[in-house]
Amino acid sequence: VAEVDFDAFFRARFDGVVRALTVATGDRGAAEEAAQEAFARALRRWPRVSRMERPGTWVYVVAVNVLRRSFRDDERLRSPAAALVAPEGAGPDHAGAVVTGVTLEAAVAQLPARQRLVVVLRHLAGLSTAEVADALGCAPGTVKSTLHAALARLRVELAEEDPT
Amino acid sequence: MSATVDDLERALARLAAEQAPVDATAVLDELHHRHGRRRATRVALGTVAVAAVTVGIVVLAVGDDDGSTVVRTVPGASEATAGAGTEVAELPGDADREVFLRPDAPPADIEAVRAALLADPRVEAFHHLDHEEAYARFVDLFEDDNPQLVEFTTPESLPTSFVVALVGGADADAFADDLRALPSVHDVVAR
Repeated sequence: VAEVDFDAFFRARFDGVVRALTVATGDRGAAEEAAQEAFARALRRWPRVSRMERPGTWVYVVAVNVLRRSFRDDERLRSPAAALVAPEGAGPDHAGAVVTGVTLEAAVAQLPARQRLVVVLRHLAGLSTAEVADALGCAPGTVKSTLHAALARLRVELAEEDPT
Repeated sequence: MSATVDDLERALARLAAEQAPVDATAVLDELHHRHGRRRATRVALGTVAVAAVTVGIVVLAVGDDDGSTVVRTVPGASEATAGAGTEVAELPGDADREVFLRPDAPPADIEAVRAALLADPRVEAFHHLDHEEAYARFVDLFEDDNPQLVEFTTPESLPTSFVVALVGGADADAFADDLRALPSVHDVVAR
């Protein structure tokens, strides 16, 4: 029964976690690996994880920690995800957005990596401020100030592109 | 143009929706496969002789592999004769059995098992997990769930083992019975 429960949980959440982490990092492969590792750990201790109030949040926290470890030695979590808005097979409209930078999506992709990760966890994954702080090992106040800075930056970038 | 939080959330949702879908079924199958191997190993090891570590904690040991390692011949390993086992530097990806020795097995007994595997025509390849390698797997298996157990466990307290891939069609039960008859072999378990 427990494994059936896990299967349902996995099917409901895995795709979303991969998508969110891809948006956060711009690296689909790393996102899939981190998500898979997080769900593997969830399966390993499913009796405990399944009793959590929000097991989906636990998966995000684990996955982000996996990502942080794998990215520790490189720049991916510290640099803009330029590739994010031009994924393989992206249509011409989207490619245009990358060139002109007029869309909010393009502006999000140009956020500094840390801001983008916080924005995704809070406003796409739906984690609370405290949960994001747990995932990133920082204070909730830091999450709030990072979100504030990210939104301010987005407004500035969009205003510069479209002064009207 | 300004950006509200609602605008931001819609933009993020659009970015997420543009990502290619995942093959959830394939990943789920892989997770269950890995989990099944891991659980089977743990259960099997419950029957294995276990060392008491210095503080008196009894350790049930060890092991997991994802079956994806590359098989290489160990430099300097004994020359395999035709039809006999070959010692390899990493875990055989398609291992069938694991031969556990007692943690205090003397070197001569370990060598006797190695010699038997090298000479056994039922053996395709095998790899010896020494104390250090057994400990590395032990840490991987238990560090999340039971860090205290890891803290009080030493490499020497864990049993060493030989992970064995048999040739196709070999009688695994007869192989296990033969190996169990050797000195210091505690058990032979399926992987």
